[in-house]
Amino acid sequence: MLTMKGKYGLKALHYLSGIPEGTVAQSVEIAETYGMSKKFLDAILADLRNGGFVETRKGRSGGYRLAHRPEEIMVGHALRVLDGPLAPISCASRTAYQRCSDCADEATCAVRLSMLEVREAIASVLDTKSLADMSAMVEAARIDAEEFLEIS
Amino acid sequence: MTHHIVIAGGGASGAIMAANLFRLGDGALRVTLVEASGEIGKGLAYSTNNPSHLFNVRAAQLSAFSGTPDHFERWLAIAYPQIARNGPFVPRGIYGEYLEAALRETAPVGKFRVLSQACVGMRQLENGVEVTLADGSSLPAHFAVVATGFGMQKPNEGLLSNPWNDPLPEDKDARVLIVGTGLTMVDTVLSLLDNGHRGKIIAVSRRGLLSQRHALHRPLQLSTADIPLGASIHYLSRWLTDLVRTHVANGGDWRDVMDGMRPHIQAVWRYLPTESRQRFLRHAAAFWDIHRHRMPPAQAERIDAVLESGQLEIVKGRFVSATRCGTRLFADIVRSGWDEPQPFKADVIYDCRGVRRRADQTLPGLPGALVEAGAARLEKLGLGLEFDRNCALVNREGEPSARIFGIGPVTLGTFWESIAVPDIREQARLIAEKIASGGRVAPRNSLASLP
Repeated sequence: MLTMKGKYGLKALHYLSGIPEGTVAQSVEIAETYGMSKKFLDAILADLRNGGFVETRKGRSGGYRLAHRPEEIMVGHALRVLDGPLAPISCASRTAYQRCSDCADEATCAVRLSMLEVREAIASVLDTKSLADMSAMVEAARIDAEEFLEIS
Repeated sequence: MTHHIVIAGGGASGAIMAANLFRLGDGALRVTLVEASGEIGKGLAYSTNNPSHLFNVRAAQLSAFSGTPDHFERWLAIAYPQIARNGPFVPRGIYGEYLEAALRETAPVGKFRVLSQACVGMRQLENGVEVTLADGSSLPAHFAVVATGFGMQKPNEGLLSNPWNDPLPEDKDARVLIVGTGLTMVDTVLSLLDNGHRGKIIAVSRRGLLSQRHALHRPLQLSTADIPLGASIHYLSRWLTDLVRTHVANGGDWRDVMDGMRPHIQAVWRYLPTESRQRFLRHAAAFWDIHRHRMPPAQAERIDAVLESGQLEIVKGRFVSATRCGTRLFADIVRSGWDEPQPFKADVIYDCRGVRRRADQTLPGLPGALVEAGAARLEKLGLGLEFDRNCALVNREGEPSARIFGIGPVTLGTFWESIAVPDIREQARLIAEKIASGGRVAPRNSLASLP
């Protein structure tokens, strides 16, 4: 499940993949760009730092930057650090497993068995999509939108 | 069109490769196995004749074909029924025989040959590969596979004995020093005991860690979706420790977690950032190894007994060098907490420091020649040759070859987990399928046009 945290975290990573190499971004500018609470964003960036996806520079000119090149960071990998195992429902994960309170027999639960497949599909999409791919998608969508405006 | 495939190295990896080529190919192929010893399936791991040297993988996992998981067990039940009954951990010495049988079963008459030669070079041409042999002759091939194993350096400092080839000491009371405390040390101690050794045996390694033992367990069913790929080693190791703790708290065994991780280790390693890999090698690899590569219970009991009696002692320290003084050898060992090396007296010193390449070592044999010629390059940490995800050899410019592949321990630097049969047969399947699909090469690209 994509939580608010996951959503903001990916947006922050997308922002960081767009800043020039060798520079850092402060959390306040990221928070303002996307209209999120700075306090929440700081907590999210701390988790990403802990997972080794972003680095911080301390001091007056300090801030955040990606720990690796945008081509090397997969969306699915960052998401596991933000939201835990990729799973559309909590009984479809081994490590962050939670049984549904109304479940009679999970081994033969139709929903769970389907969601186990969905989980693999999510992983296969998000684990091959890098931050660079994500930026390219944004760019392509932007061009489409501009063309649309010109036509209309 | 008949493809000709040359495999350099006839150990277990090369033999599994050949058997999979025949089984998965369309039948229109010829395979030449180039192996200096002329023996099939008996590389470093499987040339032992000592029945105490056991697999550290269960018999159920030893099939040469991932599509037929019980292939080995069926062979074992007929060839060695008494061993088959004896439990899941079988002697390594019989594996070569099994692989020969697997090849007899799969290779059509006249399509398979073994050349008792060393392979010294491979050059990729437009339409194939030119494989050079030690006698100066060359073989034309459509595809080539490097299966040269760990590529251990031959004779070392001269004073240290090689645990695989050198004879055991004749003097049963000799004082033996073993450098390394991994599974090679365990094999060496068992060989000494089988030989009636009475003298003191000291094993030294920096951390003095001994392999854990196997036990009955049920591997945890993990999916890649569960595992924090791409995260730092710090994050990953904390995640793993937490998972073990929760699992044990719920009545499970830590081995369930290790074995559940097993199928995903290559993926974890692939996405582990370089700094994290370096940290892992420096701080965690020794701990990982003793949990991942475990002793069969029968071996662990004998080791426990000699530790108890004091005949075997494990010392924490760093081996620096060895010197000879008359008939005696002296090893300089820096024990933990000491600044200066202390001399350790010994009659024989075995080098059991393991099979992982250290970055400062030269690369011998074919892999070294391939790097020299620019057909290959070392992966970032210098653990070994670089391959792409599909086992294709990566050249100096970073381009994966369409015709030269690697299988088994030679690919260890790239995949980390590529030295046990379950991983090797999976690589063999991948390469065999790739070569089979390469069968679409147009006839004009045939071998006849090779210079």
